[in-house]
Amino acid sequence: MKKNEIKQRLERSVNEAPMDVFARIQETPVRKMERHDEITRQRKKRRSPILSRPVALGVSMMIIMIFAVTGWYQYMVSPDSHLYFDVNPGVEIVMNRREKVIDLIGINQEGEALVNRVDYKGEELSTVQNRILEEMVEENILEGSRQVMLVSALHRDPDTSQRIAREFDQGIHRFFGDREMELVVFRQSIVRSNTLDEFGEIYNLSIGKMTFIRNLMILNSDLELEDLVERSLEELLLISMDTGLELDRIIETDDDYREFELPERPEPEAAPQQDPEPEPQPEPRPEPQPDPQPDPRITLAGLEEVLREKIGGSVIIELDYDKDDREYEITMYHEDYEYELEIDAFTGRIKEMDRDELDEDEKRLYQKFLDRLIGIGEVERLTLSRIGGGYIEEIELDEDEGRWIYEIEALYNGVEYELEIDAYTGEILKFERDDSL
Amino acid sequence: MILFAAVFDNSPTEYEQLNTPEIDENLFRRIGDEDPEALKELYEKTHRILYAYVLSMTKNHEDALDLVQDTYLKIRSAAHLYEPMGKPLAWMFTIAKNLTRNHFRRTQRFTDQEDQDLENDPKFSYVRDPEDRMVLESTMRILTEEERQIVILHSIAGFKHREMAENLEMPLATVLSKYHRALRKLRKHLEGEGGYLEKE
Repeated sequence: MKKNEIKQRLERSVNEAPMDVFARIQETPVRKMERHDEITRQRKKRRSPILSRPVALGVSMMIIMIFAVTGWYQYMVSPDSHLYFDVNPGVEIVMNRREKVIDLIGINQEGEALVNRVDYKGEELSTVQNRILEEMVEENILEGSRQVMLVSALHRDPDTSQRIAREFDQGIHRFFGDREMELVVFRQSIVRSNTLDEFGEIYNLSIGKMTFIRNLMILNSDLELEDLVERSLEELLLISMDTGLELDRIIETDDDYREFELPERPEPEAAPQQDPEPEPQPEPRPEPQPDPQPDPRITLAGLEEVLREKIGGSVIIELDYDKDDREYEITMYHEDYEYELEIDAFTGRIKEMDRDELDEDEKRLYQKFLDRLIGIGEVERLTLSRIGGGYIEEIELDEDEGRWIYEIEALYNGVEYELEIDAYTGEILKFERDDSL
Repeated sequence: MILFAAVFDNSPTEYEQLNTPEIDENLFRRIGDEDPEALKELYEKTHRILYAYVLSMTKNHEDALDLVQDTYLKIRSAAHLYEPMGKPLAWMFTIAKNLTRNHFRRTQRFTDQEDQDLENDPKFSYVRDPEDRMVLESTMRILTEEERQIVILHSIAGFKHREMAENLEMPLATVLSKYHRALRKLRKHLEGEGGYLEKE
């Protein structure tokens, strides 16, 4: 069944659901609420952080001067320190001089969603921190066994900044103490600047993460802002490690991230991709006999050729070999369209084709991420040279936390193999032989 | 180029594709002022989408219908409090999601959803075409909640991926990769790899 058909059938079946509830909705008496409750509360709009603009700065200064007379205001209500906590949701916690939380601001969409569920007014930082972490756990934000977090504190006194960040870091470790996860918390004391504010606003990043990115760029001038702002903290760490940056110079941590088994890969932007070498040591494998029944289907390199000729260039999202119909079923992108194709596996003839125009956002995303991928011919070469021969049965392109990966199933001498290959660099990330068949 | 001829002939469907509704945020103010026309307009524009969204969480027609009704009642009692901020549908989704969660908590089904799936008769008997019904049931059965939301909203409401990212509060790349993965899963299942319908 084609994707379009699935969509149409789904649409029809949902549209058929009998819905005759309007009369009841209209007639049931309701009591008007006096204020929003947990259910109807609207997502807070992102406010620009206090003191972010010269005008705001002036106004705040005046307020502070006015209230300095009475004193209490400054003590209780005016922001004294800011803490930016970046995981993937980014939140800003604003505290008064007694280090009670007076405001909680979501930096990005996930952050906004999060802060809406957390009560914070007048609470201790550690209490709010635990609530935030609990929410993150409950909402399954912390998927995966490895978490990289960034804690950035802003206070006019650098020692205070450092202390706030350190205590927050310790709080995180206490919270996750008995969990099995690799946790890296980076800490930094930051200083506010208009540039950071501005860029943070443009890219929807906290000035904490913005500071980190700027510092990375100071360490390595080849890094590009446009690329870095899209990256998760884990990816930023990966890039730093790959390019040998001395992170100690810009960031503090008590966690040994060097212990991480982060697969090495060249950073795609900075290092122009060379022909990736196949993995040096292939796994022990059955003695290379010729395949019992030689399969005359065209190679993926040949298929790539067909696609390039008939459609023009190709980013393959999915490829399946259908042995009953002896055809390749392919989903691919080219320019502004998604194509679904069925191609005769022996002649390379296109038996069926269907295409859908992408919407603007998909176009942008795909252009950005998918343009530089290695082709299926190369995937085939890497896969088969690692296995020693055989055929690819299936390829799927998948995104995992910002990393694009080809997931491959191949068959050789009746044994099934599963591989994962980095779609930018060609690095083999996973190689498994399934002996159960 | 002849190849493209095959492309266009299967696009029209019997049902008119609903487009993502343009909702005038003033509707909420008018509903707050007890304007029956405003309520009707909002309902007409959004009930199918809201139903689809809730259904992707409840997997069950009866519950979905109840919760859609509750959502509009809640909107009636809170419409005067609505602050326009450009995302009316997101607010409606929020209310529907919160009500659905409460519903699950109350009935304590939230925790052991696996058991519930086995006992639960989703009652999609109103779907006339058996293949349509099979697709709907498979969607409910094999996809995760997020995948269902994405696939259903995209198919029914013609939501753009970006709109889903906004309304479901997920990053765009996540929506896209989940969407493709979900359709792949469904397709494989329907092609018989999981084929429970044939077996049963």
